[in-house]
Amino acid sequence: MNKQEIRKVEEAFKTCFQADSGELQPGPEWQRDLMINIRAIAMPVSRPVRSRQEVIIWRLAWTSLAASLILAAVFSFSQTGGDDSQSIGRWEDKIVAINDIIRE
Amino acid sequence: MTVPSEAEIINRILSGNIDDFELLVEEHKVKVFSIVRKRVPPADAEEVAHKVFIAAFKALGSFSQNKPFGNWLSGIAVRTCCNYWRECGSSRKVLAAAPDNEQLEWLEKVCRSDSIEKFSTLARRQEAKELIGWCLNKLSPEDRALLEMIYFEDWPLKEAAAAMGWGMAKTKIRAMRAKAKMKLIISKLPGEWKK
Repeated sequence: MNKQEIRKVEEAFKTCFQADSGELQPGPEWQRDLMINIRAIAMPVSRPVRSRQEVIIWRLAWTSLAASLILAAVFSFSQTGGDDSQSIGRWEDKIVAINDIIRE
Repeated sequence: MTVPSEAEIINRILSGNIDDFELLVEEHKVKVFSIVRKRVPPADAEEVAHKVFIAAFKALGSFSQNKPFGNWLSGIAVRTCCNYWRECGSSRKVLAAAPDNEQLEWLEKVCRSDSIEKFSTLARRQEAKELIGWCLNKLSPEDRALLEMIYFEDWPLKEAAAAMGWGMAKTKIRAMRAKAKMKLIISKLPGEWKK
């Protein structure tokens, strides 16, 4: 094939491509099915505020749980610390008493 | 009663009025169908057009309203057709009919045609459609899309680049390469038929 023939075939392809319009109007069933699909897709998306609230609530719940656990741990440690200091005090008293006995 | 503008319709859809999407479908379905019908086999055109509008609905939030909605939708239509051919390629689905003698005869008549009327009549025949399908199937989906937009439908390079999501330079180079490939395929056509 020479260049001129190739150009002719290209032109024929272009004319054919542009002429191929066919039935351009889709039927009402096509549109109805499309809207059914769109609504099905939109269902979870159509309540963004609610889903956002859910996320916030869950985050708050987890944060408060973590905070309460930390507070509980701190509180229990501080309690244990108080007990320790009391018991040390008691031991000191005993040691002093024993020392007094030894001295006597 | 005033007709709402496209921007208003889009804002209403984004705020949750899904049914308003039908107004956009009504307005643009003919254009989308004309793009899709030329690019995919008629049997799959409706399904592909569905995919175009579904993709548009999903991406509506990212649509910047300072450019025409129709152009944006046309870009989605072209990319959806491109994806269709990519899927066909990966599933090894061969859609072009096997070449036959009628198409070779058509080719010879086109090459020998000396009048515009005769040429125009020939270009509208079924053999031409089959031959285009066969030649385009030899190209990659992207090359095919570029060739259809730039050389068959005379889209401006800027619009074609926007449709493909590419830069101008890349689009221009790819389009030139696609055309060169097409020329090569056409030049080998008679030989292919004789195989």
